[in-house]
Amino acid sequence: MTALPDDLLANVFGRLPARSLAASRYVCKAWRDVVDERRLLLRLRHLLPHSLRGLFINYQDYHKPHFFSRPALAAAGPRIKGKVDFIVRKGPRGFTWTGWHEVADHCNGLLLYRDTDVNVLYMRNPATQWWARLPPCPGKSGGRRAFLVFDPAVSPHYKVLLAPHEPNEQEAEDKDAFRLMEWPPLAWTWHEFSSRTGSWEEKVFVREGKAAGTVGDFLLKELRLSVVPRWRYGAYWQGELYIHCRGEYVSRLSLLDGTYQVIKSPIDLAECKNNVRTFLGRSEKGVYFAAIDARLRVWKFTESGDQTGWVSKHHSNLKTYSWWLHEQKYDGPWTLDINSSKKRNQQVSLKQDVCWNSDDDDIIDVSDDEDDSCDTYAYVTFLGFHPYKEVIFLCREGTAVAWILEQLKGSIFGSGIPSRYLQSW
Amino acid sequence: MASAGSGDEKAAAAAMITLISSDNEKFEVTEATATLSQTIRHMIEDGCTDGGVPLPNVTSKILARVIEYCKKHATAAAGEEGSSSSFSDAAFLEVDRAFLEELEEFDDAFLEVDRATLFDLILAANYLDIKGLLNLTCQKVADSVKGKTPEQIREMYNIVNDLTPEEEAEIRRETQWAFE
Repeated sequence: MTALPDDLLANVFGRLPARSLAASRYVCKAWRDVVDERRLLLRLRHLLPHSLRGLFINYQDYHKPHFFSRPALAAAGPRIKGKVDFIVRKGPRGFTWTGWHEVADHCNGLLLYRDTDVNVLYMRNPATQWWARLPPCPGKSGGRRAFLVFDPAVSPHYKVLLAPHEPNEQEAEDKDAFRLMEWPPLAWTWHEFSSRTGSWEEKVFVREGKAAGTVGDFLLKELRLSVVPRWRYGAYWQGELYIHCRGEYVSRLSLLDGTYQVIKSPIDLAECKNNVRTFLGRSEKGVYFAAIDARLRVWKFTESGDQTGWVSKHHSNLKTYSWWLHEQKYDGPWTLDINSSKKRNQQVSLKQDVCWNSDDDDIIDVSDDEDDSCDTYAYVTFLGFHPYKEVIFLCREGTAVAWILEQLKGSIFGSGIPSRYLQSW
Repeated sequence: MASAGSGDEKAAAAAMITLISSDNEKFEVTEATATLSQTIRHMIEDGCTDGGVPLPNVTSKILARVIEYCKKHATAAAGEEGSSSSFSDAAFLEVDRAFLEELEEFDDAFLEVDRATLFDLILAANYLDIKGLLNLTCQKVADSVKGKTPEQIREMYNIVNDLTPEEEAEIRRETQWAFE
């Protein structure tokens, strides 16, 4: 093997699966250098087939997230385990239990967990069961939003960004100067954990362009949003982290040069006040913004030449009554990783051929032909954006629907989601 | 060389190419066989194959194997082209399938060589630019590495581990997911 020149060695390495390639890097210096110089490992992982294996769902009133997936897919590829057994508490006499935790963020297959009892962050790869506990962040970390940045096509390392505390009423009491301060500030101080160094550091993002408003504006608007659940609100795309800020704007942090911009959201302030719920996430072609009231509207962020802004991708009325009708006829094949879903699972298997598969795109049209008049208002929950396709996942009273943006069509893909509060994915 | 022949003989003879190995052995092959090598194809196009093609990087032992591979695959290619018009679709598919199976068996048997020969074949395939042979041989090596631990790979190919303990620790940390 030492007889082969680098080009041919690279040819051989190019045929290896990721795990074997990683092992080859460990054989000797020459091999490691060939793999590294040609970025073979990174390229390979970039080319890995993207597939959606399931959704993690956080609950407001349940102590851990559930994994919602299609059992038929479980046979292919590595097994995804929803259960987290490393977040444990130890009591007297060796008694252990799992702490309350939630998925705080996810990025390209890695998950960031937060143990909400003691506010400790964990990293986890649900496919390999690898996990790591992050060291505590300097200063208070409670109540701060955490975002995960990981792109295996660029680096095997990940970063976790912890947002600074947001201003609150107590701080601002009788302090007009504070209320008049720009928000977000010109120099915005975050904390960044890097797996390369294994430690937290302060990271200052300097604003380019205008602020969103003042601290005073921020506090005024906070009141009406106090009951909105804490959704996963960030999207990492091409070196930049997009952060949803209560629907009215999006902060875009550039991790490369430490700057940030405030981008106006596609809806206006009047709409924000009108109970529309908004979401930000990454999907097929970049960063998307969704707004749900009685309608579903979706935009994609576009930046080409001098045109920067949100381009409408979808606009439709949510006729959830037809979902309900369909649900009476079909069950989706996706199930939650809890015992109560097992019984359902058996019935479901008979009907699997009518159901949406995240890889195949079978579609059952649940979008129209039902009479509008019998449509009553139902609270539609947002489950998430499909990471690789222009599809979003919605849920209404336990019925999960994959909504295909281009075709104005949706398909029921799962049911039996317990009617607890869904919080994020 | 039979360059003074007449009629059919002349046409057949014109399609023959002489390859000369590093130890000066001569191999006469048809142009169809030789042009599986992109390197030789370009030489033919440039008209510089008169008096034989010297291949100073390839020994006679390896060149004989390479020619064996090219002959088989050239026949297969010609067979596919020739049969498409004379068979019905179903018959053609049947023939096609039989060809592919036979070719696969040939390839498997062809690869039953020791490691040194395999590497020499890779080098020759690369030098002569024979895509199919390069794919085949590199894949064979890749398959031998697949699923092995670094220690097993070193043993198999007599490679000395020259990584320092610090470097090893670094690699392990960077690709932790691969070692669990």
